[in-house]
Amino acid sequence: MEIILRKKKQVKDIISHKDLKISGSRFRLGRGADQDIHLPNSRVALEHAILEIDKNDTLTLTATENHSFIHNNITTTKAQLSEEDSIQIGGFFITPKYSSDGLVILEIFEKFTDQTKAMKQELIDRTSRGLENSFLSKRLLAFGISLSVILVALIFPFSYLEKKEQSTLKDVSNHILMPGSLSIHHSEFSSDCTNCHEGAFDSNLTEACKSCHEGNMDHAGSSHVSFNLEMESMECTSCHWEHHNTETNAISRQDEGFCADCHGAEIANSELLIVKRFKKHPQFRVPYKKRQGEDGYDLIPISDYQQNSELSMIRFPHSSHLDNKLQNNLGQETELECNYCHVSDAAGEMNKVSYEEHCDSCHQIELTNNSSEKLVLPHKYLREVVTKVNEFYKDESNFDVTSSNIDSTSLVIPGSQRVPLTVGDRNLNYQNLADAKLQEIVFYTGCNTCHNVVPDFEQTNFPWKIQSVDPVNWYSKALFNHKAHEGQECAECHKGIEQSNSSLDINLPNVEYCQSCHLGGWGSPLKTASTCVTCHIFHIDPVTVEPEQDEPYQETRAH
Amino acid sequence: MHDSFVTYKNFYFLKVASALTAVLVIFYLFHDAYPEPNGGSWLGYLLGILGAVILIWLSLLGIRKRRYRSSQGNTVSWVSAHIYLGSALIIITTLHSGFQFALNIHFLGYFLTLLVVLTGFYGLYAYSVYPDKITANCGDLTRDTMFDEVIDLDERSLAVAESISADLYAQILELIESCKVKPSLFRQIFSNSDYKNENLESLVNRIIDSINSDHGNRDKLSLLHDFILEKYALLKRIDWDIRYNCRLNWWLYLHVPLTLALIAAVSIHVFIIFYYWW
Amino acid sequence: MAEHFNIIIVGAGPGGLSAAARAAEMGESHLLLEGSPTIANTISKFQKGKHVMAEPAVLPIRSKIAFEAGTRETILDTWNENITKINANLKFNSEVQKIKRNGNVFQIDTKDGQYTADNIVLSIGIQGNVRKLGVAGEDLEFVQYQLDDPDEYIDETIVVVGAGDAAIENAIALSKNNKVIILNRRDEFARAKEGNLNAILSAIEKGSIECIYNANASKVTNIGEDNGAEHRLCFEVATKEESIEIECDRIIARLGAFPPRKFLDSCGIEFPSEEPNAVPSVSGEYESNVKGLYIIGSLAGYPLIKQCVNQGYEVIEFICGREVEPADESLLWEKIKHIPNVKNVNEGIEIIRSKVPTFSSLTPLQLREFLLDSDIYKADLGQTLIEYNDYTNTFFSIISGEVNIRLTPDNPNNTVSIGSGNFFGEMSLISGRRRSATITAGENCIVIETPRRSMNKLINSVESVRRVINNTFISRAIKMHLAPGLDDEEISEVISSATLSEFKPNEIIFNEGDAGDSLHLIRSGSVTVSKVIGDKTTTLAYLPAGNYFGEMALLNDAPRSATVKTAVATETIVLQGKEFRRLLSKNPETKKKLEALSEARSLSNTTKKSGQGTDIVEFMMEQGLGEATDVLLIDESLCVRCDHCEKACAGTHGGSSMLDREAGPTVAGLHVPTSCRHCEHPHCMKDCPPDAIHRTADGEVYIADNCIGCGNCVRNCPYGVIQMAAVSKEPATPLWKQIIFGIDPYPETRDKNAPKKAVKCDMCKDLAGGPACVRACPTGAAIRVSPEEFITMKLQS
Repeated sequence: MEIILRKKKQVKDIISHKDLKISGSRFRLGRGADQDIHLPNSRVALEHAILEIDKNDTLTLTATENHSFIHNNITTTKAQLSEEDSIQIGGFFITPKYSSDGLVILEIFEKFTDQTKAMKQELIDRTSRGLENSFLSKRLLAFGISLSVILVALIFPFSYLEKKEQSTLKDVSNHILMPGSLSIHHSEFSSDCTNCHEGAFDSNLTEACKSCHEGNMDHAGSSHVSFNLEMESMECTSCHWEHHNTETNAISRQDEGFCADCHGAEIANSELLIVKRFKKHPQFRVPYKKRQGEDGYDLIPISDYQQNSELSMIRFPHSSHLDNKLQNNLGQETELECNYCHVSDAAGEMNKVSYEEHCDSCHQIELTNNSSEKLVLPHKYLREVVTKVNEFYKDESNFDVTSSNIDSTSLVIPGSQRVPLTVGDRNLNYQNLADAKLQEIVFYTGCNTCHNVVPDFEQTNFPWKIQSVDPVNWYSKALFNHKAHEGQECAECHKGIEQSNSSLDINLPNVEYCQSCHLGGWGSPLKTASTCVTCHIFHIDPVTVEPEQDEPYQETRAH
Repeated sequence: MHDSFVTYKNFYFLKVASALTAVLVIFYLFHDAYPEPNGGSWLGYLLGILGAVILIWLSLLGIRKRRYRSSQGNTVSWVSAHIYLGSALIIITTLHSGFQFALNIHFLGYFLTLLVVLTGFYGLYAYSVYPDKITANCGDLTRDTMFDEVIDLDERSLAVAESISADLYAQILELIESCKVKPSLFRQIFSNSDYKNENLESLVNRIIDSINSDHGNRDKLSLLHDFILEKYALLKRIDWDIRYNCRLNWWLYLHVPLTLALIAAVSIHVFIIFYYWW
Repeated sequence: MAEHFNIIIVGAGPGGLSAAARAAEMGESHLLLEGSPTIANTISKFQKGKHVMAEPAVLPIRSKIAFEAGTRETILDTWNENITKINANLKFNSEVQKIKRNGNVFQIDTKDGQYTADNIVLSIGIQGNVRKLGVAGEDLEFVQYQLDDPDEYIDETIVVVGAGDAAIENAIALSKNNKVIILNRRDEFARAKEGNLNAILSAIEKGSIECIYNANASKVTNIGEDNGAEHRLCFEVATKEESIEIECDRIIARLGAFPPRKFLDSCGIEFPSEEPNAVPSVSGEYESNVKGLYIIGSLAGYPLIKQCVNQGYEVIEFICGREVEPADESLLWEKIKHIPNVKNVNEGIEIIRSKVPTFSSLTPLQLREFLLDSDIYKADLGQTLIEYNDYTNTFFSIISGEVNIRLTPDNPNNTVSIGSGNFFGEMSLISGRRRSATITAGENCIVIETPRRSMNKLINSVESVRRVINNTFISRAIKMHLAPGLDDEEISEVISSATLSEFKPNEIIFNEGDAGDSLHLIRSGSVTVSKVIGDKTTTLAYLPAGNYFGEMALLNDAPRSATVKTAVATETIVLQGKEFRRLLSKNPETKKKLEALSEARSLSNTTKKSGQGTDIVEFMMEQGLGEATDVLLIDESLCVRCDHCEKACAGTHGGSSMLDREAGPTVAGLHVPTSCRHCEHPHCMKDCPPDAIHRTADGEVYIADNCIGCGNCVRNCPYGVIQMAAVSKEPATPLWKQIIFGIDPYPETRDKNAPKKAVKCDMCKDLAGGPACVRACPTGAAIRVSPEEFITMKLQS
């Protein structure tokens, strides 16, 4: 079967056509390049329809799957074509004809008049063209916003920088620039950067500071010559920082560098140890023994400490106080906790342990007479004790002079076991009971329990004195705040205190123990702060905790 | 076969970015800044510099994508990295700020960073959602061919109308000339309701009426009716196409300008910081 | 007394000029008479800026008159320059009125002088008297017979009469700014060059030019503006059916020209026939029947400019009684001298004809022409001539020595060698696919390497060559795919039984269940294998050229197990079952191999799920991807319509994009933009006058700079992926300007006259990192894949 494709074209008034013979009985119509009848128009599918022609030249057009065509104005998918029918596929109008010599002519006419073009253009013009063609422009927006940023954040504040007179605008401009507010100490300057900052790109504010703070004030005691020299060359801002609005309002640095900047390195003519940071902190040192001739102590690392010299001059076994069930004067049983004696004040400072408060309730020495009246001997002042004992025994009514034996039960000596005097002893040294008693109290049942009784040969008739108690501040160079560590059991840090039988033991944590929590540094979400200033105080003369100066124990003489 | 910018090299840049941020966060947690975490500590400076560098690199995408000859990595790899490093930027800048916020230029930079990255996130969403919708909506037509179809329908309905009555012809013509698809920007971005055209609908109703009344022209009228409905459907699709395309891209009109503003803000921030050595 | 010269040359066309130049060079006394005031009258009448070709390209110019392809203007300038430099003796404005022989000298009369000469060279061409409309009003104003500058006329209605190249070129040039109607006496454009033919046809299709076929001019009348008509002329035209009146502003008739018969007769020159366009017959030395009167150029029937120029030179040599060897002699010698102990070209030709049976059937002339495009060289031992998997498609013939064919690509030692007289490389030449093996030169091996184009020309023109090559192809294909290790006589029977069959695109070769007793080897093109599984036809495989199918039915003579359909126009070699089975029975191990293979195939077929991947494959085939080697695929679900691919393409190709993202079909979320798919047998390659379209070893099809912008490829590409564009040489806007001011990277500052060239995707072969379109895609939606691997992947997944 042969048919003629007549491709017609119209431009303005003249219609031209081109004939093309194709043969076959089945023709594929479509946009695809491989189609028999090629309809190049995007509205036509690649393979849009099949045209079949049978023996007697009847044409049937069948649209391919989910496509359709318009046959005499009716949209359909299959149609028998008779002469002069009009088929529309996309922009193409197809009309079958029969030529004079009986050939089938398929007139293909792509109708795309200028009018159509115009209509389409109008519709498109009426339709929105998407962002690219809209009034919006990334470029303009970008320049606009950036410009306003520059205006607000740079030009505006800087234009007000030099202005001296106050105004809200000036205030605003300052706050735009200011990275962090000032501490309360300096808050009144915050209205104007130039109050402190004189030149641009200049971190040195010393002049500004000096204008209010004259001299180098109380930076360091007279003993820190080297530091004071050093300071001459330093700027205030190297240790004093602003614009960090912390709760503490601290201006002075407190970080490790604050100290370590100097102490991290050898310091001229001083035997100070080099400490770079807490991790590198030397072993804690404890007072060892009195220095020859002078006051103060030798310090040795706690790790090297051996029990060999009593410095506090008191005998106190923690063990016997902490675990035993104890009986007080009234015979009541009590159990002692650490905090029975060691009580910290609000600030976390530990109060002194005093006989009256903490020992008296158990350690009381009484004399009992026949009519079983009790006489409580005072604790302090051996002189008084001597007088009191003598008076007690002078009074005959209290006492059967003739009886030479001392009622063993008349003495209450808690704690240490009783050591009775033999008659021999007594008769050997002393003629009267009071003396004997006295001697017994001092040497065996009383003082000597906790205190050292030392000979004093200047005294002729009672050649003894009682050494005064001098509690030692083991870690004298550092401050320690118990409050901060309330959470912990005493024994956690004071290891082995329950077993300690002697006041020679120092049950104190060593530096490693502290470092297990205190990693050093100012502290971070995951680290316990422990800079130098956590435990040490900036250069005021060294921390020495003196024992309270109350009246010293006098040696006393029996008359 | 296709390797999307999200899953590029199975999330290579996601891994890189997360690793980076993880490291930085850990640093931050252990870092003791005095007197509180801030941009002035060494870590602060590090984070600041890092953030700035990343920011600059991210904005370089705008240049890279125009450098068609450059052989330094596919654009898709750049985009992939752009996304993940961009997200990381939020964390980095936050750490840099040390959670110190106040109404000043230094915060402005941080704020803009957040905005830019957030718009970026929207973009990610848009890019993953709308292409499919566009395809679904257009089928195998393009917007241009849809216009062709519309015009074709117009012409045919005109032809039919002419054969019915001059008045109807006039109406159709009026309709054609008035018809437009011009959703407002707001509508393009936010509205989800179909395109609506009252005079078109009213005309359809009028035609339906006359179908029932005017039996002579019933067939023609129903034909016309179909044409118009078909056109209406097409207009709806065009409308959706416009909207989808808009939603695909409008965020860029924030993302890009804000980026530039951000760069400005950051440079000012740096300048001022060193102006007084704060 | 009339001035006397040895040689008088009449007509300062290319021939005349070259003759004069030669004469002057040799110091012959000579005179060049030119009727018009300028040289090369005809060429100067070419339309402005016309690109003048220099065919045949390889032929050397031996005259002092330089000539190479270029625009009309440049060529004329060079000639003026040359001729003045050589100070030839020219005389313009002296039209020769009479030439008569008295005694042994010629007497020549011009309107203002008289000369005598011993010899005359007539190089007047035939454009001297053009054919007119031959109807009333043919000499009216606005009825013209030449066109200088088409851009002179704007918004006119112009009727171009004629169907020759001149007419077509004028019409197309004019149609840019005018409404053009072309009148064709016949119902087709028979006389036009193919390029021009396609051009005018597509112009007519596009509607930019209207054509009235079977039309004869009958009358031209002048309707002045005075009586309100919008056009100047009324052109009455009669076609078979009706008589049309065309109102127009201008008529340009390009109806060719005659030899000036009257004048020539008067000179006593005889013509072979009475045909108006017959040319006088001349001797091998261009001498006419009148002794001493020589005729060269188009008047002697040699229309090509290059020929004229050479003839101008040669004729002088002849007149002075010197021998001239053919122009291509030296060229050929350059090639042939590589053959050892050969003294001259003819020897070489003979040797080749004797050594290489393929060419023995060629006449020396054919072989000469053939060798002009080919290369002859001595390959050093081990030098690689063909690299496995390359896309090169040149054809090699061995003159002497031998080459080694690597049987397995990776193992250099496992080779067979073929010796002198053989040829290789025909596989890729025919199938258009990658090289199937690596071939290296052996001992003192000398080969002829022939480019695809001229080899195809030869194959198509010389039957014997075609047959030889086909048979070799078949036998080698069989050896390679079916019966490795069998020698020729074993398979000779099969080969003799083999027949070649061609199929149209989407033609079904055989249906599932057909009785079939033949095996097909795909020679070129590709097919899809499908099978009804469940209730749906399911594509099983896509087989490009070089593969075979139909072996299952043949092995266990069962009905066809699947339907095979061509994807593109396909040629297969059909092996008859009887012979083939006999072959197998002779070689059990071959049989085993084959059975094992078909086992594997049928297994993979049975494991196929119904409908799996079919739609996509079907679709790809629909898109003519069957012949693609590399195609751009966009994943619609990733594509954000940013058109970066297009921008990138434009950005890397002088501002003109070679791909249109939106256009092109989509299926299952997969979009195939219109962009080059680098076909196996690129349609664009056929009929490229300067042979500017090439294929790189990696398979990219690209257009070289020597494109002359004829636009043939544009029309030949069925996928519409080649455009004509003025490739702007001026650099793009600097990037910072683009970004800050948003200036278009390639501002439309190109002048309209800039020569347009064909541009197409070249896979960015010059860019590190591959195609810019793919690398510029921000979302990874665009990829370029070979359909083969893509489909296999789709079918497996």
